[in-house]
Amino acid sequence: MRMSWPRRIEIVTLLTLAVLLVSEVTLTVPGASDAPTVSVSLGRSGGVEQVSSTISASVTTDFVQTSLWVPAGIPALSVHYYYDVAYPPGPYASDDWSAMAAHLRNVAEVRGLALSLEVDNATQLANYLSGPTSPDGQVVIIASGVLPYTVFHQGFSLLSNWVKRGGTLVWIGPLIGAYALTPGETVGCHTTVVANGTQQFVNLSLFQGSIPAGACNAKPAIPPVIAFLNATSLSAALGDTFRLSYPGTMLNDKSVMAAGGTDLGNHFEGFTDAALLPLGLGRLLYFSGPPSESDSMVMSILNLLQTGVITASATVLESQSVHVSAGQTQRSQTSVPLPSAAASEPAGEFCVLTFVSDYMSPFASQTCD
Amino acid sequence: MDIDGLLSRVRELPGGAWVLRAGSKGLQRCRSTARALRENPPSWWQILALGLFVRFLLAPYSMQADLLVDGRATLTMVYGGGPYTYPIIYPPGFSYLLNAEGRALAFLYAPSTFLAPNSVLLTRHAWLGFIQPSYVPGPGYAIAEKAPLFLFDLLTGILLSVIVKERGASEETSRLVFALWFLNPLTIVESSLHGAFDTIPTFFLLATLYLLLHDRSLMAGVALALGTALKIFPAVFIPLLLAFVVLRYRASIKRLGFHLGSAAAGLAATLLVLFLPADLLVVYLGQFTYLASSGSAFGGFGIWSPLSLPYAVSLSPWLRAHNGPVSIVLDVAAVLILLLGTWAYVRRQSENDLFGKAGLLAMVSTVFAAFVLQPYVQPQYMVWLLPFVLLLGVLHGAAKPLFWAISTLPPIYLVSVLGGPGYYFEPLPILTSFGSLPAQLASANWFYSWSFPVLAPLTFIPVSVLLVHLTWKGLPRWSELRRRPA
Repeated sequence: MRMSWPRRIEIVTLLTLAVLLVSEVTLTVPGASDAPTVSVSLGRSGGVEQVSSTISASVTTDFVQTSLWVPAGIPALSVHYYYDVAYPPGPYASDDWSAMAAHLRNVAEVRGLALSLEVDNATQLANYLSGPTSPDGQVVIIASGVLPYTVFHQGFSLLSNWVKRGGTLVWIGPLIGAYALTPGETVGCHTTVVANGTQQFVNLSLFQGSIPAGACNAKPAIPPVIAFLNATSLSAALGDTFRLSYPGTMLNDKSVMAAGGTDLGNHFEGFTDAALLPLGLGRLLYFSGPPSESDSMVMSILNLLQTGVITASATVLESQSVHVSAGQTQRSQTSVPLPSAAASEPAGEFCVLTFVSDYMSPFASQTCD
Repeated sequence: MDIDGLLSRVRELPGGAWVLRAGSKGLQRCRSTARALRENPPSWWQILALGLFVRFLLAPYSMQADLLVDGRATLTMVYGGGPYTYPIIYPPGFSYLLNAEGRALAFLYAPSTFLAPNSVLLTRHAWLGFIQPSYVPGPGYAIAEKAPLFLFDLLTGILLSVIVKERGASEETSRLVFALWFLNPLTIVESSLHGAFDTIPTFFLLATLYLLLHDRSLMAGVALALGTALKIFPAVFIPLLLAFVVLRYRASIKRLGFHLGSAAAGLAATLLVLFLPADLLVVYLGQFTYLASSGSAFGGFGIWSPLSLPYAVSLSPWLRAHNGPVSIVLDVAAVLILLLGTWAYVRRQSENDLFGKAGLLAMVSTVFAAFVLQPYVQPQYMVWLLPFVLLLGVLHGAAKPLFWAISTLPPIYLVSVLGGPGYYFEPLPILTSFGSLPAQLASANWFYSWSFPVLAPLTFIPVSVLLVHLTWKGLPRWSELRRRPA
């Protein structure tokens, strides 16, 4: 007997429901997920750390295992993320910058990190910066590319003073401190310029050799954004896949070193697109392009936070790539010499960060001794 | 100036005569092809083969930003993340679908090949000032994401032809409906090029209506829940469906209670299973309400694109600052349209058929209400509307201009404007050619900055006007209302 059409439609409906339910189980039932498993055991003998690791994955996956020395231990992860709907983002920045906070929080959850993340509007950020909380170990992320006037304007340096007192600022955008926006104001020829505003954060020699921005309203004769395609050993070790810079704010690699900074970015003709720069007692992590690849930036920023590279002066000792085929397990043993300073830093920690270097994987695991 | 005057003016222009000759020949060819097709219409298998061939031809090396978003979400889940680790705004059913596709594909390919880094693309976009993705979907992922859409394109076409046939249409008409759907430029572009999954909830919405008409209330509820768990818009149809069920079974309270209860049980049980646990629901609701409060609601797509025009740009900050009140006004308008459409259906329906003229007009107005609820209207939303205007045309001889407008204008807009052709047909580096026509077109950045706000309204304003017209037509006239007894 031929099946009726209503019955056929019912079968299609039930089959689709079954597929979705099986998929739901693999995503939401604890233990059913196919997340990679990493087990690292550490043992110190003399000035050498013995690292034994077992890594398995249900799908073919590329890992990076990075050993670090953290001089004074990693502080609790406390982040304030600036987002205010009334302040449009800077040039070439999409609305991605608003979704980044949720992504940071979600990936931290997958990693099992105790990340305290608050989203502050312009007023809340000003209140926080001027509040009683000590800036030590605290992180503020500004990914909009423009500072709101509530924290910085001509003659008012709340944000830069907060960093100088020990805070860590993550800046993603063009020239920091050049503009200060009021609500609804967009970056353009009419934007309020803060005279010598940039110098309150960085030395202008950092941008030596970069391409100055064109005149107002003139059609730019230069590319508006430059792709930084050459990875360095450090950017690979920390999983930094941010690869863009505004031409006017490309960071001169030599100037970064001369200023006591650390080049963390990818390269283009002697320039880098990310650097950690000292500012008073605090630090400024400068990403010199727009947050258009915020999805991979989230992993980069979390790696830097998780390892203590931007909050606790952690240094990378060595790094190795590990390829694991689907359903396989990789075991390895290595010896990593500790830095000479380790003997004089009793609070220091040796840590191993294992993260998936494949695009979009949220997974990372860190073990410290 | 009459048409002859215009033609003679064109003929006098340099190359004008050649253009007219070529146009005339093209028109003759179109007419003869149409005549040949009428005399010897293609078979079901020919339509199916042609539709699938075009889809699979376009699928591997074409993309839109949404496909990259889907790919990012898929990879996040395949590597052990949850349904919302990568923040998307769709209901959880969509994440489950992507996860199923990703895991199936992971049996064949390493997930690192799902999305490929494209340095050529990154550099080009960087030069142009478009901050577009530096990754593109690999052909394997593009096909894995799009193939289920082809299946539901096919299922929707079959269901449409079954609906038409059950209303006494001939075999030819039934085949015509299938062809008008399956070979429609909108459905082809949306599923094979864009990778938009609107065809799946559209199928389940249509399945809900069909199952209700066959008194399969429980499974109709399940189908509606499935559609809603993939994309929220089918839920907007609940008032209309409720009105239909009440009208259909109003003669017997017992039957009414049974069918209402069955539909509600199927709907609620499926929604519960797909939206729970509670923390998942909370995350989804947070994501869903996020867009409305983030200010990105006024991005410049569709009906909002005129805001990108010079002198209208200044409105954008104002809208951002007043996003809440503006959204509330639009939400209220949407609810009013929804209720008015349902009311008109209740007042006018004389037959127990959702696919009667009154029912289809009510569905059109309900989709229109859903459009008004959206912060911006993207071309793929027209897929929600297409089956209803297609049925209006074939079954009732109405709304044909709307059908042709929807079938042609949004695909043209999609292919030509939204980020430029290079945005769509961006193959992997090995096939990327700087000398290609799309690349040359894309280098004229100014063209897109102007054409975007101009062409988008050109596609959506006529469609919106026709929708308003149809909605209005579906409503009882005041004079009619006055004549009716109290």
